[in-house]
Amino acid sequence: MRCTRCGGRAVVELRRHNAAFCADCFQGVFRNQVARAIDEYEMFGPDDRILVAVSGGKDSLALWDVLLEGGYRAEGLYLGLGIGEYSDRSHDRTIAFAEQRGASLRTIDLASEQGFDIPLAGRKGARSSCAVCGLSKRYLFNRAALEGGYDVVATGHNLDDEAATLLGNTLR
Amino acid sequence: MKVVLRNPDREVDIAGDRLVREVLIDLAIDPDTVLVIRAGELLTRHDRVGDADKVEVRPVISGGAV
Repeated sequence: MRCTRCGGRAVVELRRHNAAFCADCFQGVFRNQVARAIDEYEMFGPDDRILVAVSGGKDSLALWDVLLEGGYRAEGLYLGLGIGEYSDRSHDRTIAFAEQRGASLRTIDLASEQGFDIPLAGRKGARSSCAVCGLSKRYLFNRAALEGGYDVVATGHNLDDEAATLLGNTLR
Repeated sequence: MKVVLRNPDREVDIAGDRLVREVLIDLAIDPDTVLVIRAGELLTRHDRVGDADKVEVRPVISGGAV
């Protein structure tokens, strides 16, 4: 399969667009899509301070990467959720990512700074652990942004997650 | 060939020397939900894999947010 743009060997196929791209062209297409969306919806400008919520996963690190490459003032915020080895691994990956790019990363450890972690909050509350986690994270992102004088909070999501959330809320 | 699957991590032996698309059909995996990786390089459905190859099939839909 060949790259739709340059004719090189394709590594990513986007069936909904009837297109395929080599690694370099895919990066270009992805970055252009993000830049267009930021402009079209007037999300923020080059002078705005952006707090990027990063988990160490692909969605948030891709977002942080594309904002840094785009020249935005994007700083990372990592929340230590206290979910065992998963949290340790994701924190290590986030630190390594920030160091590779010379980016600023702030960490909030729930257990030491808030007096609870997600497993404990999940056991104490009436809501599920996922609901407690989502609501706690959103609150802490917003508070960190307000206290730190940031203009924007940025969170990374993929379309499958968006669709699942929309469907779940619609059927509730 | 060997195929490394995730969630949970496991390895299966399956016939190679055919297209990635055919391997995924055998494994009952929707190609739009995974990345197929061989020696650090992504493969498309139309790439051919050999009997001696080892590929990883990595899910890209985690269900998490952020």
